[in-house]
Amino acid sequence: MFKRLSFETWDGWTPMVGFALTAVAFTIIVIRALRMKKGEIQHMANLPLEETPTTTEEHGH
Amino acid sequence: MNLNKTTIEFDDRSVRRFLIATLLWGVIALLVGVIIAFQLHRWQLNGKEFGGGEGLAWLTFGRLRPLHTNAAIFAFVGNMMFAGIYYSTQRLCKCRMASDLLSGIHFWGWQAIIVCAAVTLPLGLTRGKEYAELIWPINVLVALIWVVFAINFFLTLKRRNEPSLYVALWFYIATIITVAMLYIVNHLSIPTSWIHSYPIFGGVQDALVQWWYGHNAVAFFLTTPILGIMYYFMPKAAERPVYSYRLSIVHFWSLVFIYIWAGPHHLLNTALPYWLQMLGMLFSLMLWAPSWGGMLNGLLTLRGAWGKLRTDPVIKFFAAGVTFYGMSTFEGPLMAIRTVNALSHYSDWTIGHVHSGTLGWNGFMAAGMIYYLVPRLWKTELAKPSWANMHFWLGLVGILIYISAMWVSGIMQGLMLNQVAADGSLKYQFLDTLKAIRPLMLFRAIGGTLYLGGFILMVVNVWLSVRKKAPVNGTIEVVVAPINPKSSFWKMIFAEPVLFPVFAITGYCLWFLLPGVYAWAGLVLGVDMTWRTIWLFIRHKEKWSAWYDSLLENWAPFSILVFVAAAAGGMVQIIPTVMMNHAKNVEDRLQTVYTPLELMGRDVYVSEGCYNCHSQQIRMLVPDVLRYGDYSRLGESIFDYPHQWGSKRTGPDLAREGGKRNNTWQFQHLMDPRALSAGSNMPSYHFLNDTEADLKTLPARIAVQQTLGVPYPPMTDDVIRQKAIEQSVAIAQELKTNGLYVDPNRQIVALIAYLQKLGKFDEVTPPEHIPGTPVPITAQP
Repeated sequence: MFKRLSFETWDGWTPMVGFALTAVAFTIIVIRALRMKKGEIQHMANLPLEETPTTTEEHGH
Repeated sequence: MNLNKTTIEFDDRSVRRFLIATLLWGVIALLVGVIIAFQLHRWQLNGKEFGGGEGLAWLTFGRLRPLHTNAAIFAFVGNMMFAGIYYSTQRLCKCRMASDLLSGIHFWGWQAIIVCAAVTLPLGLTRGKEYAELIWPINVLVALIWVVFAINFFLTLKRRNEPSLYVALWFYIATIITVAMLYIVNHLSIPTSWIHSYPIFGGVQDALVQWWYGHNAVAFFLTTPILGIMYYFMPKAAERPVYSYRLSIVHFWSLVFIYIWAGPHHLLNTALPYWLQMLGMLFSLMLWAPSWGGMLNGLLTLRGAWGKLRTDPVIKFFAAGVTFYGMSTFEGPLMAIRTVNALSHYSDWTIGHVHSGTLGWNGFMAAGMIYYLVPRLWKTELAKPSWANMHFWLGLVGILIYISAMWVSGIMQGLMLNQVAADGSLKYQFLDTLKAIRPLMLFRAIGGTLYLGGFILMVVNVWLSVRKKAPVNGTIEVVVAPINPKSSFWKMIFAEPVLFPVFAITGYCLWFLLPGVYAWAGLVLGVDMTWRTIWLFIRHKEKWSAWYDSLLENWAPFSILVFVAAAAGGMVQIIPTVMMNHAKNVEDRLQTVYTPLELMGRDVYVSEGCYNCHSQQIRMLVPDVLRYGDYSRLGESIFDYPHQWGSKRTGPDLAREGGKRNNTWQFQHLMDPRALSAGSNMPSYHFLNDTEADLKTLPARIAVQQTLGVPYPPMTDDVIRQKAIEQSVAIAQELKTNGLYVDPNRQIVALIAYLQKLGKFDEVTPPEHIPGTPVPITAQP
């Protein structure tokens, strides 16, 4: 199970594999983000600004 | 479709409660921070100057520092985070929080936890792990209240009137899930009484789990929720949408995926296996990208609104807060480079780094949010806008003084400690370096005081603004229509984009975990599934895109995927280290088991928070070895529950303290450190000579140690106590011969016994390596 833990190569390639996996995940999400439609982007980005600023005095909730 | 238009009143009472709690606990957290900062400069503040003789136990640095860190993280930032989450979640979901009752339980439960922490920590009741000090009954309460919060939050998502989940909500989901995972794993303990427990991990395992938790407490308690708050409140304050929504997506996923792997950078150059150190360093460096992506996204959201900087305190605090986020996330990866870490670790540089994050990023984002919320939650205007401006400048100058002092102190002390003379000897004694940085400790305390002054100004300003004002709740008119996710939960989980990568990863794991032919079968599976994943992605591109769009409207599968992304890093690092049969995998040394009295002394050491100033880990660095002795081996702390490797050296390392000095020296040093170490800033521990050692619970403690795997021989309760008494009498006798009359049944005697045991080990021969079987792991390549 842990046979590779002490192999010299393990020290070298574990971080590299970690890096490669992360790079793949990163690339996929970048592609996904770039492919998003403009309208969708605009809708999502404007969500916090959609609120109607009305208030009411607090009552017993 | 039947469209039902209705007006919803938000639960802003909960927001106000959390906001007020933020102000209250913020003052306390900062005040305790200022007190302990002054204590480091002037030891008499450990109680002597308050009429406490040589000092007061509950005022010592070792007990107050955990109070400061816990109050800053969980009380100040915790309450601030909850205020921001409650306010923005309701507005982004266009619905009221799911349950007023759960909101109430969450608020009052969290405050009860803080009060319990504020009482127990100064009493010396602690688990002895940084930022995880609270005793087990409080841990259970934290877990329960967190679950209440999670249920309330996820039910709100379920009942929302807005189909899309804005990026701020993603960050909140990541926070809730990951903090639960981190907190539970790192707090797994076996109680020995209602106020004491031992963690289930020991030695290197405990160190790894602790810093997986500690580092990610910074990531998922101090960073992700505040990033969510940034993504909601900055566009609101600037009155324009976030600069790049695309960037926010990349920011989120890469941050969640990378952050969790970086914990081992807290253990560089130690006995931690080398591959873990490399992994921690590499992922820390990779963090530069998402962190700066997020910072730039935040700052560029202010494009066109920079003119407001002069007049609007909200924008001012947010802009500075995000800038500090950028600065500290640049500095962090830099310090995670092994060679830089050799100098920075255990020094004040780390303290400066942490405070540029907490004071600059958390504190300023909190201030910006509070100045934004107060006028809206009480329908009023800020009473003293100029005070907010003054608060900003006091805070900014305070932080700059603080972190500059810590940079100079850390680098100077690091350089001095590492200087070796031409003859190969060390150039400076530890105390020389401490004396050199003493003035900088004063500057740090002054910087902190300025920051506290600014914060108090805000508290008074808020009070002046809201007194005699009626609280108001926000309302919104929405079209209530049931949100029908495009796909069911199971369809989202059992979809191509999830299944095939999972099969691929499973294959690689089997290759790693299994021996011989099974390993090759795992490799074939992994490669085959990788190929199929790529092929399917190219072939079904549109389908996969639709799946992702659908995921953003389905909080449950989204949350599960976030959990998988966050858990992956921890599992890869922790599972091999935890499953390892440690006693058979040590290098050439195995820690000698503590006697009952030594174990009791160790519990005193933990209780007094000695780990806040003393490490027990000699790194594989020439100056460390020259100063403290042979570098620490994995096996030398393997029976330490919890580990005490430490993270800061205000005093010297103690890993090989045992036998260096006699019992008389240890006694006199604990009673009056300056009598033997002129210039020391250590508190006097004279009160340990007045406190009776707790022999009653000793058998229960040993029983738990045995359960955890510490090889104690079978002993009856009487034998355990008898052994403790015999050893303590022997130490008292030795002290008596030197004219020191000490009651053997005192904590100070047990502590001396423990200190004299530090660094004791048995030589062992590692088992011969049979190819294809587990072999000893080593810290060096």
